[in-house]
Amino acid sequence: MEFRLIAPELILAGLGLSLVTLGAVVKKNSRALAVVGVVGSLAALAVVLANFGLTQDLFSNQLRHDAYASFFKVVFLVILILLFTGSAQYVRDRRMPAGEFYALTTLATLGGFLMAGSLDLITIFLGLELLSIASYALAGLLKGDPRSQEASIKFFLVGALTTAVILFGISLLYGLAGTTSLTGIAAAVAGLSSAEFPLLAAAGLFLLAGLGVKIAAVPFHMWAPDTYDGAPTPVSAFLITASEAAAFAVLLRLFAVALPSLAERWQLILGLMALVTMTYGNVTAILQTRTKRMLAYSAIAQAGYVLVGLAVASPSGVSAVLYYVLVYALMTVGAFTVVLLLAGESLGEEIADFNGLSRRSPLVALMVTILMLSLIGIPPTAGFFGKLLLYRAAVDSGMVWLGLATVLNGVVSVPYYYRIVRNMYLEQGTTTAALTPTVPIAIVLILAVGGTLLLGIVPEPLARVVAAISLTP
Amino acid sequence: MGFSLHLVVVLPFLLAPAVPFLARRLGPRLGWALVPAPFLITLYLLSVLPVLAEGQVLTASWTWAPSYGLSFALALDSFSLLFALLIAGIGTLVLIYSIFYLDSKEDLSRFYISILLFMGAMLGVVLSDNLLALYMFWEITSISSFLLIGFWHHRTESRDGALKSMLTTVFGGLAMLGGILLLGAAAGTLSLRELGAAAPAVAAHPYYPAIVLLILLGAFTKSAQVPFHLWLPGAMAAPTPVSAYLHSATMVKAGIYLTARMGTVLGGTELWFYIVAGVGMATMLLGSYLAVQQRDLKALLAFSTVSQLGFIIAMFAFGTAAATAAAVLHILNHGIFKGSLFMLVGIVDHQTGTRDIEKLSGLGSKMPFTGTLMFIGALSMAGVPLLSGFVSKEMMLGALLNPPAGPNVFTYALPVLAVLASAFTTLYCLQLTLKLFLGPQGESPLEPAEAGPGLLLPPALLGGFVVLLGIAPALVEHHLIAPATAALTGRPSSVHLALWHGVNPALFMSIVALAGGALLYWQLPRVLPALRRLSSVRINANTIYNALLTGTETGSAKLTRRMMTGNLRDYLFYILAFTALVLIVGLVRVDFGGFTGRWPRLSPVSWSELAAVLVLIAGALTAIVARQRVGIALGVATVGFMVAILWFLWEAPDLALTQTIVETVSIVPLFLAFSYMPRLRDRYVRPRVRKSDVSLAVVIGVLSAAFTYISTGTRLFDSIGHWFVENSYRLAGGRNVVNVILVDFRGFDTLFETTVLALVATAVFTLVRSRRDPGGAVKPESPLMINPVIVPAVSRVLFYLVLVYSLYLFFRGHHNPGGGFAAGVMAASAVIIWALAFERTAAMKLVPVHPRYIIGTGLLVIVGVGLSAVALGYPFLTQAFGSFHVPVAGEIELASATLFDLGVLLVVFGAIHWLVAAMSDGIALEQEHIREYRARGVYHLRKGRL
Amino acid sequence: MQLPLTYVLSFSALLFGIGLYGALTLQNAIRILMCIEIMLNAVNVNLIAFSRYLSPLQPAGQAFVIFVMTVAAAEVAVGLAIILMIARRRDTIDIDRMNLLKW
Repeated sequence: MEFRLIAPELILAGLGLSLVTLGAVVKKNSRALAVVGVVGSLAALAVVLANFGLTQDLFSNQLRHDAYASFFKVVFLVILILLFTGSAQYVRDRRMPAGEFYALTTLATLGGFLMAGSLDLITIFLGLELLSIASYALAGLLKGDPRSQEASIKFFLVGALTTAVILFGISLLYGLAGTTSLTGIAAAVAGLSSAEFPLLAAAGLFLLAGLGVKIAAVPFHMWAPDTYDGAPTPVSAFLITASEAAAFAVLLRLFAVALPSLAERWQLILGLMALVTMTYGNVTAILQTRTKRMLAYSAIAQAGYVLVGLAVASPSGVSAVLYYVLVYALMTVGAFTVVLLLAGESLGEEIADFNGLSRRSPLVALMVTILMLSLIGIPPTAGFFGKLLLYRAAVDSGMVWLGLATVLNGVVSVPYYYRIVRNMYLEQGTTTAALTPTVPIAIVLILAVGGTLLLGIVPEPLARVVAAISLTP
Repeated sequence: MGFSLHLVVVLPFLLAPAVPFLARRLGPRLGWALVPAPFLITLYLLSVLPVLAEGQVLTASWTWAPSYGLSFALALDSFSLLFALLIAGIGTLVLIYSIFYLDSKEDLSRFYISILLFMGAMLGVVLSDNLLALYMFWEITSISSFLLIGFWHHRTESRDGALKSMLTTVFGGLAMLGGILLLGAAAGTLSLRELGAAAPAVAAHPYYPAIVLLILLGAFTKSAQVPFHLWLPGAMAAPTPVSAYLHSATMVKAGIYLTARMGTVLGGTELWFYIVAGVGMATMLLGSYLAVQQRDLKALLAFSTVSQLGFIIAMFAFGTAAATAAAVLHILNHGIFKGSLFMLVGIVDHQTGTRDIEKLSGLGSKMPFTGTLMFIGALSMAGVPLLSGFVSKEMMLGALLNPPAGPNVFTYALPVLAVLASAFTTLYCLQLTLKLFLGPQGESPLEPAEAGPGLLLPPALLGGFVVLLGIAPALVEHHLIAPATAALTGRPSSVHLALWHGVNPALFMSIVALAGGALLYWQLPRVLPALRRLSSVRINANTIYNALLTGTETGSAKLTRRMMTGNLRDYLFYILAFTALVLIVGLVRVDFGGFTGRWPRLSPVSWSELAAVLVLIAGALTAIVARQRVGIALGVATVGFMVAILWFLWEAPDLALTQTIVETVSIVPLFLAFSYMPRLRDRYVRPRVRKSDVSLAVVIGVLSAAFTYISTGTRLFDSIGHWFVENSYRLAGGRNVVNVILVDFRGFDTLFETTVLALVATAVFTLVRSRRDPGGAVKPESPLMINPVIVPAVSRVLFYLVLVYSLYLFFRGHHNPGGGFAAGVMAASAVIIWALAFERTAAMKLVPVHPRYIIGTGLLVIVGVGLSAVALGYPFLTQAFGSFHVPVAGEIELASATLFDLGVLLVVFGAIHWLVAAMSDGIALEQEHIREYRARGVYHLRKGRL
Repeated sequence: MQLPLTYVLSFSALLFGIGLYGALTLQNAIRILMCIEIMLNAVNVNLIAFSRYLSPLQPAGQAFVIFVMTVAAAEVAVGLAIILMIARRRDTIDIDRMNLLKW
């Protein structure tokens, strides 16, 4: 049983290492590597789905296999599969080391798996580091590009400092509880007197700050736009979606399982953080002219929305987070795939590169429009239902102000998403040559946009799935 | 029945995707293929008219997303029918009109798709029973309106207008969504028909004021009420058929529809009355006042629409049967006459090439039909008897005299304001007719000529309705107006529509308004400049909108420039400063009630510990202050080694050992990195120290200390650590507790820790290898050759010693400090020693296999051990153990854990080996680069540039 | 024979602060890296102190420290590699001069 439950992790580890080796053998053929990567991830996805309903604690309670973890694993694998499919051309064009790119991404995903399933501070730490270390290297994979270098070094130094902060928090928590197991901590914390609370609060704050850096929540976000802007496009997409999702997985589990008392006391702090984060992201995104940088600020805003689900500290909040994380992954990967598509013509870095896209490829322009509408949260798209769940979770917990702020923040985000749409439809581009996506990119776009639209028209099944998932059995 | 009801909403949506295909086949005749759709819907609606007039409600429901409280439930009563008829009926006419109006070279598919989407969505809005579904359709109308406004995208004003309308209506829509969901929370249902029963509960709910404000925000933005009226004139950049349809007849009425419906749930309170009546009347006055001053005919009509909508909305503040009936009738009238007026202005624009009222006059002789129709429409709007507008307007004025609240200044002001606004209305209606069509002919770009029958037919039909309803208003009374009023008020309507209501105050008000308007028109040359002067100094809504927009932008710019400086040190500073801030806040909020902080009894400190600590701190300070590379490296190394000594003193020998080894190994790459970097010196001799940085570091230090102090008062807990100690031997057959934990209880973590190491080796290799040398092949020369004689000799001895020690660590590991990890690091450091002493090729040759494969083998072994447990029926990574006696080493227990340890050893060894090889390769390559560059004289150039 | 827990924790806080000070004030990327390593060492001292003083027979904290140590070393190695990569292509590893990406 344990083996079966741990099989996806083993598949990913094996896949990662064989990709390194394969990369050294087939140096030129990055497409073959992508195929191997996609097939391996599909296999892992199949196992995760087959195990979806099983709940069990593994390895002396270090890992918990439950629907919550499985859901995140599905999200990670969907991201991985879409990115592997869509990025082969980019990897070849930019002469990125293909084997290492695919291998590092796979291993980073493995880190995400550990984070989603861990029930122990040590495992959380290991997963976090696996993910982070791989990400630092990934951000610098365009080695000759000074922007990529800068993205990497900034990401690394901030990340390393964050590691220290998180560890400090972990050490305090361990000192208080005498154990690293989350359930053990919960038991210990429940018996804490008010005298010990300051220490607990400090531990929680250090952890919150550290993980806040990982999800790029304001005021811990400064590294994110620089890193997402400078890193290779597929890497940015991975970091924005998978890496942030993994940090959310840990935050939720940590606060729901180990520190429920803190989660309740901190509703206000977390709610304010969510509010500031979404507003800041939306306001700063307005003036951006570079696509990836704009999407980076938008990612900050979206992280703010997800934080709402954390702030309400209720089961419906958890469901809302799960729903939103999946939807957000689809939208973002879709948007970045369009950037990848334009990158095939050395375009896409600037928002102005979207000019006249509707005449070059009406279908792609329509797809981008749907993605942007979904990012704003306009029906009938998946993004609307994602926000609806978050909003309802907030209202149900009595945090009406936070829910309203979430909904109204959509308005602030209209101008910058609108600008892409306007550029596509209302501006003249430098070229009018027809733009035909390659087959892999077309597949990714159809899956991502189709998913966004389908979840917007038929939202019920997924809503049922996430509603059935809870952190406390 | 139910299916046909859904078909009404779905049909336009189904037709929309077919448009591009139809366009390919039909070309410019595309429009004709689409006309039947709204026409059939109109016929269907007319067919159910008698049934609904009896007070019956048609309902149909499809489940959609019950988890969200969303269902595709439709309900058609007479009030909805009124709107649906306007949408489908005028929609039919607008489609016909646009066939003649639009140039066939335009992107017709886009136009018709947007119009169809709009029509479907609009029907969805007025038919939905579920408020969430209503909201969804509501947003689709905003989007299609946006697409239609931006249809002529080459014009700048189109783009601005499109953004303005989008921002305003999306803002309102989202606010409304907020209100709807609060309403759902308060009432427990989102069904319009069920909400009526919950009205008292809602009014008493604490959310009530928020619900009212938010939902009205949605309604007011959509219906262009003050202060959101400014998007509507901007939207006039749209093609005229669109203006006629969306921005006068239907979409802007969605806000009225919502206000009317919500009035049945939320109405009846003072809050509702004052807000709705106040905003409505203010809009009416401001709209007509602004309309008078416009030069652009469409802008005039736009402001006139704003004004009329305000008047109608104010009616729903009253909630009385008379007011409701008046509003319902006026909705119908306004839809008809304003639709025709827009089409007529479109014709004028089309035929003369301008919409500037100053340039147009005396068109009557050239365009008699257009002129006649314009007179009919405009005079109806002014409320001239015998035309439809008169009846409804008089009823509305009359309703103003019976307010549900007051009497106070506000209620007295309402009729006065209405009369004033009506006078302005009369004035611009006269401008539309007398100014435009009588008098001498003006200068227009095109020579005016009467339009063709295709363009004239739709407004002519509407004009016919205007006259018909004006003479015989009772025609619509029984089947439409009375039942629609009843549907809202919930009581059978006693309203009686007639041309002549007798001499009453309302009639008097009508006469004053008409006469006042005529007087103003007579004095127009004097009135107009005065009005314009008044407007120029006032802060209008446009300035507010622009200020909001630019304010957000400058705020955004300031915020980004301040925080996102691109300087990493600023980032670190902000991140830590905010952490400190949160910590301080956390500390302040803490309840210190049960806290008994005191320093515990001081116990003597051993000299050895004190010495270690002092040296350690000195080392840390050195690392920061030192100017020389060696100094920094030594400082950091000192910290590491002193920590190891501390742990030895604190009886954690495993850690001491591991720390020592890890420290040794990690210092080597550091030296490797430093060794080649002549350029790594700090550019500025003196580090640029900022006071803020220093104080932040101090603050965080103090905070940590504070929390430490607090922690002394804490009670601490037993942990499951005992469990490990007690079960360690029995379960896993080892006594080196830490190693046992690592290998067995935490076998899983160890597995992934080794994966981390493999990952790191890969990452480092990827980053430092050069494109010219993709395989990472080893260059012959060692950059670290220090002394050619002594070092190799010593190293040779050291190499074997370290290797043997590594073996010893490995086998002793399960009981004593050591184990696979330490052994792996040791073995790797043996190779590093060799590499430092001899050429690195030689070092690489020591290990004939590429490190990649060593790592792979190691991981295979680890997973294999785990899997063999599975094969034997135990959980994954369970260990087996046994022991055998070896002469020198003593009792050696061969647990499967040992095999696991071997795997760890291989991975650790391979990873470090690869890492160091890659790093020194990178350095060697770099030096080659530099040499090459120097030889070519390029190097300094490069240096100068970067 | 032994330091009281408070001393150790204060000492660790001091070490953390020193590292932090360096990380904030220095410009050379490698030196910042070194300072972060000092901070990690401070955390390790914390962990061991808790493990040692609170329950001497419980080595879970020690196990944790071994993980932290290795992983931190690994992180530092990657950091060095990144810095090396940059140093090879630019003239400087002064982080004050890396501000291509901003705003």
